[in-house]
Amino acid sequence: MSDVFETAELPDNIEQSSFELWDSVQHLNLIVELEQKFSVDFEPEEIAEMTSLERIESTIRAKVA
Amino acid sequence: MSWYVYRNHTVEPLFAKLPDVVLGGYEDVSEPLPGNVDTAFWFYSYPFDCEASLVVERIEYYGQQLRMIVESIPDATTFCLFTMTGQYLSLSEDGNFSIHNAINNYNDQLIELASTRSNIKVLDLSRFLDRYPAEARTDWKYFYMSQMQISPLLAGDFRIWLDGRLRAIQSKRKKCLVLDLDNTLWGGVLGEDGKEGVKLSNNYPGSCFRDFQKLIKEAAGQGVILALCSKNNEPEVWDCFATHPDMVLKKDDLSSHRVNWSDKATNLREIADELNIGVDSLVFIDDSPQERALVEMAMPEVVVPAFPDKPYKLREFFLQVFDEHFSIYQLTDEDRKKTGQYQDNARRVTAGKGFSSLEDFIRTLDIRVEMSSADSFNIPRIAQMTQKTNQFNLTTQRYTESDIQKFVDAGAWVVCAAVKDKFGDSGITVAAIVEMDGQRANLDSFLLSCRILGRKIEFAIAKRIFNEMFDRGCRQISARYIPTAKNMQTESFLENFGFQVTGGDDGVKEYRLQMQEKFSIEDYYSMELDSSERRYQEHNV
Repeated sequence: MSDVFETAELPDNIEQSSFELWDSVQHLNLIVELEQKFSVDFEPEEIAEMTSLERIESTIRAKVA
Repeated sequence: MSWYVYRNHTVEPLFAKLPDVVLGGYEDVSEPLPGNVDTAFWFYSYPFDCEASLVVERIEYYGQQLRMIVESIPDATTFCLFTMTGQYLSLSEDGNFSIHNAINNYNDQLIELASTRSNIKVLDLSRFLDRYPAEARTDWKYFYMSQMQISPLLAGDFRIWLDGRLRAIQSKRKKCLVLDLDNTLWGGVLGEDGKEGVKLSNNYPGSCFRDFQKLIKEAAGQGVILALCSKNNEPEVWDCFATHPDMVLKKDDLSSHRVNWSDKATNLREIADELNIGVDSLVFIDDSPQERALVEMAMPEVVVPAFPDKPYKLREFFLQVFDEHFSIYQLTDEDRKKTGQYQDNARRVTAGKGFSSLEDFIRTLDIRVEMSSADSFNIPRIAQMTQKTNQFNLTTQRYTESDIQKFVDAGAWVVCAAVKDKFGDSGITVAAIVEMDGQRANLDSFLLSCRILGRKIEFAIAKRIFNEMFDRGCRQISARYIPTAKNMQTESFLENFGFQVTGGDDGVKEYRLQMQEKFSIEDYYSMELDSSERRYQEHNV
């Protein structure tokens, strides 16, 4: 996440609604990185839901399990 | 360096990492180039309409847009035009053929333009896309989610490729290719296998190495300096060069060589000195990961590409290395000859269908704005727009569906609009909330999706809204601009209609407009407002 947003400082459970750098374009950049890194494929519906660090973690966990 | 990108689809993953880059609106040629742009890109992708005839029409339209805007690009700005590549998604062969033709004509126009002015360059996108299988070039998921026509998974590679092309254009090519021998120019180790045992022949895997040498020789023909850096015994090496029947490269092809048992970093430095070039113009090719790592560490200015793990990948590897570091940008004589034939055609085209002004363009688009007052069907979309629209949004007030309903219940006029043109329907992409109080009204929200910008349509829609308010008896409109990190483009928008600033602080602007008469709206926009009139009267009876 640090790389996509190009910042070292990230709050603990960051959420799209409260983190200004996380706009819709960055959201997709983040998704692309996650897909490549974890070798998974997210569906558009899942992508729309993954708006906080917590939700991202749980979605990935469910996919990889 | 500052960059500007003209585009017709979502290309942020491809360009957003360039420092100081501005991406224009979709299909937007209405604004002059911002000052101080060093390099502008024209990146229009094949339009993914479903009907072949629409695709053809749109491609022609793009060519016209380009011809119009190229006049306004200053000579000092490099203007890079990306060719269009097609995927022929039509169900009919005729359809595909006509699309294929349209794309070729479009690309011909690019070449013609590039031959008329030295600051215009053509970048052949197919050279990049052809590296990937067809199904990898567009990721349909991302296309439908965000209009990305090139898969964002290719973004990293694209940036590297583009970098190489830009360096070629700026003539920043590398000068010298330094080559290892064993398992690089032939398979096997000369010192162990002898010249009869190394793999260099007409059969696999020797044929892979032979072809690799052929490509290298061709590169030398295009001005690349060749040097050798190998841990071997010199006499054996020259004997192999001279007598091996399948050696393509000869000792004469090499401008410098270091064949010894010293470390390669020292050798590379000596080669650079001998050739009187900087170490930063060397590209070092060696199959050994250890040798590469050593050079990378000791000499970070040297380019050290990762050598392929299989001999049959050598050809592709070399093409990429050449493309990235050694190719120079040039239009060939053939390209230029073609333009001679094309020029007559072009003159005909511009005489007949030339667009001398933006207004002419807009007129041909046949724009229809369909405005609808809020109802149970569009309230969800209106609410969603208030939550998601960041850029063309005067006050960025975020509302839920029930918030919108409350506005409606309180007598406010909440309206949305869809924009149609000859190419399609944007869907609901405008929303406005107007609180009404007799002669006074307050514009609580006015927002548009960026997709519909570029045709000055935001002005026409605003005027239509103000006119509607006038019709309902309103004479004084108050409004505000509330700045955010993303909506700077709306900062002075209201001032275009005569709104006066009456106060505000911290960047917020409070506005007021006294309306004495209605605004006149250009006739090339067709505006429709539904039965909101009747609904208004019903509500107030």
